[in-house]
Amino acid sequence: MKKSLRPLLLLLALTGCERLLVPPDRAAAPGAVFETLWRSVGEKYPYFTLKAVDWNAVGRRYRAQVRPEMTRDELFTLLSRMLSELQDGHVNLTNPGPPVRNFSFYDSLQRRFPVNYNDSLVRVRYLAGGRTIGPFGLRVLPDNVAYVRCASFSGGRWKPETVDELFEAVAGTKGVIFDVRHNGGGEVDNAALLIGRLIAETTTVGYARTRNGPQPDDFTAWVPNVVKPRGTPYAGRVAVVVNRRSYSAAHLFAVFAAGLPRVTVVGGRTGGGSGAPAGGELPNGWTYRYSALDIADVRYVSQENGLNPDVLETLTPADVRAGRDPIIERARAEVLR
Amino acid sequence: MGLVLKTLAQPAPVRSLGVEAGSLVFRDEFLSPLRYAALPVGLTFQGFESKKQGAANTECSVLYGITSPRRTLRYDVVGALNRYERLFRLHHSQRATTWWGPALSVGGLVRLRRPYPVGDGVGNNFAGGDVSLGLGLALRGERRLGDRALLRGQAHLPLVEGLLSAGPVHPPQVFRPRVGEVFRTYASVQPVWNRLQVQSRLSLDFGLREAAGRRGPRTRGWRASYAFAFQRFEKPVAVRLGYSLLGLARVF
Repeated sequence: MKKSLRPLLLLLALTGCERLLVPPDRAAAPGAVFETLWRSVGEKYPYFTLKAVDWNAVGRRYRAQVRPEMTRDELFTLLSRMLSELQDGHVNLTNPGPPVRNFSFYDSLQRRFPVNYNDSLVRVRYLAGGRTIGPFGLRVLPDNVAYVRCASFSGGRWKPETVDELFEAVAGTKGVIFDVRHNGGGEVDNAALLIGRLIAETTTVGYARTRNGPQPDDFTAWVPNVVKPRGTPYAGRVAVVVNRRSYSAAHLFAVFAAGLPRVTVVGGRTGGGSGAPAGGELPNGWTYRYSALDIADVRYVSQENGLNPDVLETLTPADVRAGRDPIIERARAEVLR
Repeated sequence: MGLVLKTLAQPAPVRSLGVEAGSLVFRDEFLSPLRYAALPVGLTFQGFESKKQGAANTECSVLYGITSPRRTLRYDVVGALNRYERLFRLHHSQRATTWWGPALSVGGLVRLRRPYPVGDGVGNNFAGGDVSLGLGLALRGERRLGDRALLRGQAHLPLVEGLLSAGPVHPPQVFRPRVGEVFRTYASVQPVWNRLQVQSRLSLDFGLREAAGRRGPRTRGWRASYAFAFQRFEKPVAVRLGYSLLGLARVF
């Protein structure tokens, strides 16, 4: 062999072995699945201290129940119970199937809280005769207060022009009510679009940070959440109407709006969900989601457990029978003050 | 005498633009303990210039790969790389048609990786970008095969890198940290045992001929290549990534 070809052969020997250098997946035994989930959440979840959860103790308690022979169904149930200790609607566990199983704590958040919303009442009493602009239901009430029903922030990022159209429609009103009750959230960008029409200059509306170490209080520095203004800011007063099912992006909309002048939050305590979710995959193919980001208000206070409104108001079955929503009525009064 | 000899004797830049496809596997421990695989395809530009004391390489590539399994990664792998390096020969054997030997490599790269959004579109992986300037060792060989073909191989291993690197990307949309904040967090000098990157490329230039160019005679022809890379990072998160690519390019 010619000497000059030896280096080329050496190069060839280096090639094509990526599958050896990135070894195959480890075993997906129940113990490995448990440890992966427990460790991943333990390293990334930001609210252990806020929620007073000792994740090590949780791990010890549930690890003792893991058995090598347990079925997938039993393991799924056990892991779901472990995750439910976090009482976080952004925490999920999903088995893509078969059989498809999904654990979410979201529905449990509403326990012990009044519903504070009746969709039929809103449609008949406050939206009838109004119009629809993109995701918004809009009606300008007789006292020149605009009622805007926003049922979701999901379905992708809104076009800024749609939000512009909404604010053109409410320009000249004495006040605007944004009703985000039973709004489970979605794109936080959409909340920022609305906020952008309420401010005249670039505004810090809150702060965010992530875990960056093994201890529960290992965090990055706070990073400002900045929203830029868009167009002429709305001139009237604003009320944001919330309930316990105002969650995630809807909750954050209320949190950020609450820090602005001329804004009043009315209704029941929100569902929280400040922690923007991220996710991962377990060795057996199940996927999980967890709150990855600690988002705080302008006072650096995390509102993960729910925002208490400026004005607490409830909707009772008697109110519904009477065809009147006291929460919206109170919001009307607030913007007309 | 053909142009190949002329190229070796009178250094002239050679450029190529072509397509590559192959196999890619990676494991990003922050995202998942699973090994993901992809079938990447991409575009690659390469520039090569012989220097008196070594060589200069430029490589720009964009790779796209559909990953599997797709439960977590609802989006596909996209990466972009722009690298420039200079090789300084430490020892070489040069005859009329061949030189090979170890070299000192000095160079830098800019690399971008797209985040893999999960759930509500929030990325959860080692993504973003690297900017690095490194010093390492290289092995290079070149051999003429007749008048119209050239076999060339090169492997290099950065020994130490000054690095600006983004970490896991999971802050969401409007609350995206400023780029400067992220990169400052992970500015570091990384030795080879923390950040191993092996790269090699074997290429066969064929059908070479001389053609007139705007700035004088240029080499024209085709290039078939085989590229391999393996990266192992421990910080800011544990990542293993390796790929092999077959390519066909136009030399111009």
